[in-house]
Amino acid sequence: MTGKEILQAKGLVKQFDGVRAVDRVDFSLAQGEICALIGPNGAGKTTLINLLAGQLHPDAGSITFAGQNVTRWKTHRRARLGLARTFQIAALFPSLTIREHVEAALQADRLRLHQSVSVEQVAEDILQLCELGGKLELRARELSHGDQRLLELAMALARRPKLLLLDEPAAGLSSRETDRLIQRIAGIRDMAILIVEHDMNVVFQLAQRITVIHRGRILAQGPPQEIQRDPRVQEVYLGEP
Amino acid sequence: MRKLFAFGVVFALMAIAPGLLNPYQLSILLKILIWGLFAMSYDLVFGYTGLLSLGHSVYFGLGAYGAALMMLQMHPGIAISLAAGVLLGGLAAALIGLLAVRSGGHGFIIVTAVTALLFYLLAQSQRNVTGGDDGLTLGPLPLQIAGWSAGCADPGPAYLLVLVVAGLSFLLLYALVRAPLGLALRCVRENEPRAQALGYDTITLKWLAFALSGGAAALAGALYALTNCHISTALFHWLVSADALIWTLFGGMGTLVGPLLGTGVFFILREGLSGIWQVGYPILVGLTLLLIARFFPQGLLGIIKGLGQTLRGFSR
Amino acid sequence: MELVLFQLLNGFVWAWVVALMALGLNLVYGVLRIINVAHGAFYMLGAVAGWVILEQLQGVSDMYILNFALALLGAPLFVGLLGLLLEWTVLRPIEGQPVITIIATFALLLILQQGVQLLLPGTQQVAPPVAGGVEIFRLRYPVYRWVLAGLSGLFITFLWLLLQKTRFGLWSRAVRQDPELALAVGIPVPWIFGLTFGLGVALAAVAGVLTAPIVPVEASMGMDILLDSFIVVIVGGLGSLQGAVIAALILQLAKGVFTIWTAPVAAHALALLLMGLLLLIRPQGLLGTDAD
Repeated sequence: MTGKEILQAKGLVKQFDGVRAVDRVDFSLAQGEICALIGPNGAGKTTLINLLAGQLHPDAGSITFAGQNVTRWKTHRRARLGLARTFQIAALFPSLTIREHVEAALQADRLRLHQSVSVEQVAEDILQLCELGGKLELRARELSHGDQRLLELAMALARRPKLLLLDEPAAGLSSRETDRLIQRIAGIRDMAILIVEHDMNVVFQLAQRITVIHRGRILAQGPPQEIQRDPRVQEVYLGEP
Repeated sequence: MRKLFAFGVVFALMAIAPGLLNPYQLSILLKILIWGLFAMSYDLVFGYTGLLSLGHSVYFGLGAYGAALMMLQMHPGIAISLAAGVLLGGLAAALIGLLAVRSGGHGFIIVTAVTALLFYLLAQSQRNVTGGDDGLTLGPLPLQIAGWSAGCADPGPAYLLVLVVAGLSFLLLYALVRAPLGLALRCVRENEPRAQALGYDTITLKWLAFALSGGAAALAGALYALTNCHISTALFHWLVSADALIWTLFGGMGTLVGPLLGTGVFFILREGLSGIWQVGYPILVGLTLLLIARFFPQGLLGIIKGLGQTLRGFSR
Repeated sequence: MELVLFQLLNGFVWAWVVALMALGLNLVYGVLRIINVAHGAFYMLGAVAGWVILEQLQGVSDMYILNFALALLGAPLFVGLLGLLLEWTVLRPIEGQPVITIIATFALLLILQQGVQLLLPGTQQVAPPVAGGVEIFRLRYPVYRWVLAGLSGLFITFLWLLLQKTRFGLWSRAVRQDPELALAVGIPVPWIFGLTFGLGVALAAVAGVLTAPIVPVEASMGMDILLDSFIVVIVGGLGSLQGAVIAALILQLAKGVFTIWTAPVAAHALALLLMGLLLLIRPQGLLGTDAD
């Protein structure tokens, strides 16, 4: 790996009922790098993301993030250190408005007695990027599926993280919405991004590097063109590009 | 601003109530204020944070006994007695909260219910301190306003004291839920794992809500002890917590005003039924709860808001 | 010495009753994810229904033991059917809203308890089906209490077999794991929900009929045992059958032992404190795995 590493995982293991969902995985990410994590269903992608973000704790191995050993840290501490994530199924606060969602993301690091700045002042660029500016007073449960996914992204971005984990951001989106999403993500600067995605269109347009995971282990790793040609990957995906 | 104005109007109306109501009616209004404050404290935990507690009677009871014992033993001023109650109840909530908020959603309900039983039994077993079922009798509140002194049958100035304290508590609670902390608590209620992923320490937030709410409940209990002339260990029973749950749900959870409204409606209903069909009151409460649960989860305030919107829709 | 033994035996007997109650709570929680606050009311309803059946049979049959057996079958059947009906009419429409559902069960508690208070005020007595006592270590201990513990244990075993060996058990375990998947593979999930709720409250009714001869039968009799069963369920580990039995034994034996030194009320409080301590050491419960 080149450049300064923001995230480094060594020898990660996670078992469920004796099955190794993640099996001795070494993985690292450089500052500002965009990497995609792909693999067939049940390969262990979401488990790996949950290990990195802190929803799960590994049975063995270590995770270093932004220079700190965060292996046993809880989710919220990792988040405060600059790690943001989205969820596979949009995980929002159903009865809160969009404004409140973004506010909640902005104030999460430190609760003050009084919120003095408005969402528009602080997160104008993000709202514009996610096209949510005009819908600030709508509640999350009133949003379309596509808007819910954009709100997920906006919440994660509002935290100005060092590392962004996107768990299947395009799931359930139409191809037009997916194209829009790709543009949004391509417009993000100054943070490392790890995308888990099934849609190869998304993967090949965004990723500088691709990591293929299969049965809990890393099968191949490298630039997109290389991965595309790799016979082992083609075998796993049975002819899919 | 409009809301502050509305608060001012209601407060002023209630301040002149002693001139309009007879002592009996005034004593009911006083009870509504005290138990309404209890329901509002409950709303902080239940309505805003999404934690169903069956143990809030503990903090009301501790507040009541803390204030009463302080008053009976040391004869200090009213403020110090109130403070003793709040301190006792608030500390207990802070300690019990440590265990309760760690025991998971459904575990929380059970742990809080069992703490209510525990304190009820403890209070029953220490008869020489608590007076057991017979309870403790306090004299009338040592308070005189313009030559008007408080009695047990005629609350008089005690009502004004409660009005001021409850009003201030309401403003404080309202500021709290409007502040960033309020939004954080609602995030915990709506989706706890998501709140964690945003960077919220949800365990600490839940604990904070629990402790603050316990302190406010204890204040209500302390006011009750000082103005009611009599308290007993029955205050600790978990059914008292369930009362707060009922009023909050009926009035509209997560609104602060709703629980106060709910308390008022149920107290007046109970008074109305007391001469006619006393045994039927719990059945009526049960049926109302079922209806609310099935058709109006937003409570009375939700219905009123809905009606308001419909009317505005018509006028357009 | 006799006092110690007497208290320990009492604790042992009550442990099985509480375990039976906890089993019903656990069953309903495991499948429907409901904390049934009305569980104590169904216990009371079982005792009252048992009393009513015994009263009706008084002139019909002279064999009291047979009458009692009929009450032990009839009352849980009645309560179970009522549970089935209530699940269908009251709980089903608000499925998937945990808080609202718990509140609905609380409403049921109020209605059932106060309804009984209205129809049958005061306290009733039920005679035990077998009289006499057994002497152990010079202490005469009522024979019926042995029967009570034995029958409770028998019902617990019966339920365990039902859950392990029958199709109902298999289906209910499938629903417990993943209701949507269970529905997809053709399991009649709504029926499993209803039957489980009925079965759970029928177990409470069994406990009610069984304890009717040793406690006053009245509308509020379910309140204390409800909270005891709550703590047993949570200390044993939510969803764990064996854990609940162990926790029930700990709670009731501790209560018995503490009664030697102090008044029953204080002993009850101390036993609860001990349970709280256990919960501090193992927040997930003695045999629990998932904390929620």
